[in-house]
Amino acid sequence: MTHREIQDGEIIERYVRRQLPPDERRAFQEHYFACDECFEQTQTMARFVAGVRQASRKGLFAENVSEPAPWRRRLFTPAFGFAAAAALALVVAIGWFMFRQPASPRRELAREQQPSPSPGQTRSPEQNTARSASPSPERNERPKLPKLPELEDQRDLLAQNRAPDVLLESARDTSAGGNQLTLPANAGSAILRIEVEPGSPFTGIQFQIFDSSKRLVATASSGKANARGAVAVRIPAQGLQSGKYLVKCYGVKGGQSELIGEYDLNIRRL
Amino acid sequence: MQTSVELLSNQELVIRIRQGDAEAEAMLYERFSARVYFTALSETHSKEDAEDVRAETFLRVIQALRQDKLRSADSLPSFIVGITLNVIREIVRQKYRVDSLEDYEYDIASDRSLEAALLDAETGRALEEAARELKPREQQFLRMYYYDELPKDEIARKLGVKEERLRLIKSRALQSFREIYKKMTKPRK
Repeated sequence: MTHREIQDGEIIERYVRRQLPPDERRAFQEHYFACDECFEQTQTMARFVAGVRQASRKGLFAENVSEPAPWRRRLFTPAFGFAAAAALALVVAIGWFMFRQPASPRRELAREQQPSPSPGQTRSPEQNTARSASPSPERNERPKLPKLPELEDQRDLLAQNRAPDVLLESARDTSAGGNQLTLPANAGSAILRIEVEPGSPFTGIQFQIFDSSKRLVATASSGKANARGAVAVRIPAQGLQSGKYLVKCYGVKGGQSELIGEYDLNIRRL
Repeated sequence: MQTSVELLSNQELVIRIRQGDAEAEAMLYERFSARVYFTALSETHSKEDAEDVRAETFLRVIQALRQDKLRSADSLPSFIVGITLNVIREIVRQKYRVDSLEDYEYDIASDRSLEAALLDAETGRALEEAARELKPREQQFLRMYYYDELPKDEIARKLGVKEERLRLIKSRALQSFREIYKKMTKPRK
């Protein structure tokens, strides 16, 4: 293992956080037994991570996350509200002004040319018809409000891309054959999805994929489940060949993890 | 004549140990003890187990070197790693009745035990001092990344920052912590 590989692959941090597959873990251990600098950095990283976790547990770090409001919520901020009200007033004013104006210059001209009826005199039917025959195109036209685009959940976006995906279900819920994932030859990644209990307390889910020899071949972490209880992660497809795999899912909270599910997965590589 | 441990190469250490040099054995221990202990602690999450592993590992390594079982002095670090991991597996198998380290799912409490083993007073103080140099949003990132273990893209979205910036925050915080910790633990002359 070279220093370049260690740096580019963030090996030290991944080692400390137990995110390396077993063969990389062993390779890095062999490296730091021979490299003073990497060993020192590894110890520092381990202390740093332990310190951050302890400080977080003690509440020494800032807690509240002022998450930038999604664009939809931004519509209802006071500043935008005033701007929207002003725009609406302007639209109404313009519309009133437009509807109040004569429908067409021709009718205006015709009106000017015709003597206005004296009191007691009614208009001829033709005059009335001419007045109402061609309604103003502007009168029937309503200002078109911009159509608000739908807000898409990020996880839906994830599911809509072209990577193959599978919704993992427990053995009793799947049909004979278990969970199936077909990977095209050129697939760079795949998406695994699970459903968790609504109101799940975990702040994240960690996925571990083991091959039939119980070797850990891939790991991935996700944030907490969305409102529908769905969780999705993207995993690299390069190391996944045809065969049977076991996917273990751990709920993560407060730096601790708890096994929440195991899923059989059959992968078919085209 | 006292020879500094840094001056002897692995090859010279191996030769001397084969000749029964007790001082060379002590030097070997001094050179690799921290690595063996740290590796054992990382795998077992237990101070007691890590100390047992260390003791047993050096016993076996020195016996093997005395009996000239090492093919090449260049592979001494790899040789010691191999023995360390074998000893760890034996202890884990004996204590927790699992066949491999990969099957060994240490319980949640042992994570706390690992932290306790790694945290000395200086670590806590250095971390607090380094954290004071961070803005609240940067502290939030560290907490979400290392404690809540959220993925970077989600953290970036929640905090309204780019992912590249998160990498810089992490790097700066770690560097700051390293410098402060070094100052605190520097031996006084």
